Amino acid sequence: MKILKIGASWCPECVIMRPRWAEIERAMPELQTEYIDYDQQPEIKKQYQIDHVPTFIFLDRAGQEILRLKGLVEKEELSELINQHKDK
Amino acid sequence: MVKSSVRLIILFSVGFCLLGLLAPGAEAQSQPTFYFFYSPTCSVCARQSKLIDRLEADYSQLAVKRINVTTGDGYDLLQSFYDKYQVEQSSRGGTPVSFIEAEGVGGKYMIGYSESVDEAIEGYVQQLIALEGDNHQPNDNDAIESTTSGQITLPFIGAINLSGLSPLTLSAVMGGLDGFNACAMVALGFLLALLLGGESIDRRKVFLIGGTFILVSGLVYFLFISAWLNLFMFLGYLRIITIVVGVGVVLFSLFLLKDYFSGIICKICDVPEDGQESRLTKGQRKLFAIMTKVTDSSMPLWLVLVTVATVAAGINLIEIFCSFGFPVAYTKILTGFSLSSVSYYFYLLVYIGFYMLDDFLIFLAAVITLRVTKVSEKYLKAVKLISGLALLLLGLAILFRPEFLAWK
Repeated sequence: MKILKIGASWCPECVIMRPRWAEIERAMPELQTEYIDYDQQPEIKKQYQIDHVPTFIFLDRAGQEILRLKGLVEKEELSELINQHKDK
Repeated sequence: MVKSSVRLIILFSVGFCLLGLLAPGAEAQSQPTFYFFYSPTCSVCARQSKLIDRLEADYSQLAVKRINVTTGDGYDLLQSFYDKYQVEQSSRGGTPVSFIEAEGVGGKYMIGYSESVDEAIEGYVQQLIALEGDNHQPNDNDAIESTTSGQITLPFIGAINLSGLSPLTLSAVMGGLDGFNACAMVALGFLLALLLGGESIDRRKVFLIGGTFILVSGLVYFLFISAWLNLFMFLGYLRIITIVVGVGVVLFSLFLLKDYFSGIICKICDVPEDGQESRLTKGQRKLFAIMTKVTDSSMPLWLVLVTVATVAAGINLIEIFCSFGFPVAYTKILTGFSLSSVSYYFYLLVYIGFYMLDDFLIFLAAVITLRVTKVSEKYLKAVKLISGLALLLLGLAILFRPEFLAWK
């Protein structure tokens, strides 16, 4: 599984989510994540129908979307969801 | 200054009809007349009106004239009374105002509402009634200062009522409610995440940057609320303003509740389909982006602080357009208390103090523990719901039940 983290520098919720992700990534070094800046890759909006940043998209091995989270998410909730889907 | 403050402190002024003083007892006395100037939306007028009902029932000799100042005629009559009694300009503009006079004796005026004003009114009416038919001049009673239980008296501010819905309770409760503002919480969470998210955390830097941001935010908000207060003091008498404010507050509360039910917390992070964000949103985004860069950079600290102060002022100015509900409702209700201008600003400071309290505590906890207190979606949603419901009730009370907001 891979997680796309779509955010922007002007979005306070994205900044609030940064340290939460940093903690998770430190705890799970095997987790594959990719940060995509909304302003630098505007085509992402159409590709994934983004209507809010941050948006976190969980992709399975085949690149299919399995889950999408928007806005502020608690660290505990994130960890739980990652554990549920990490083998997909 | 001190002299005029003393006048303001006791919340009412007492004057004499000069003609009556110059010729005491020279003319035959007439029936004492009570001119009660009120505004239908003024909560304290409704309270004082109860006293006047009782006086009217107790003393058949007393003629009571109730004048609505929101009508053109009522307003003109009040102006002529102000001139006749040489009421200072600074004391004009509030309700209730009472003029009690009897020809041949003189008269007095009382401005505002408090227990001591009520006592002074009743005392003077009794004096005039006792003198009716008698040709004696009533004793001068220029300043009746009484401190009733449940009040504390502060220099320059005056008596502060601690019981019931006093301006103090109103300021503290509404400031506190306004402080639980979802967008302000997101802004603070953003700031703390920036400051505490890095690898090496400098506690002094966190304290200075965070402190500057909070201080400037408070200052901008204070100026904003002062502007509303002055507007309502200026427009005080107009019934239409009360209706506009009530409707505005109700509509604003409905927007908050709509956001709550559709799960929106802060619109700044939405990227609409057509990509046509408002200019305000774009401005706000630019400021947040600058903030992100500045706190990450290795600029000298003073320059960082100046930038943070500027950005904080900008973010708050823009946010003002999105959070006018509580400040408008609060300042409108506050002007109904007919206080002195020093008291008004004192209560604005109380409001701001409570408004900033939750931000300050979250910030303090972060500086001490160097960890960001959780700002969860659930919490922010609950905040929206509570603010929305509180504002809805306030708006409805301003429109239909102003006496609920009365000073008890």
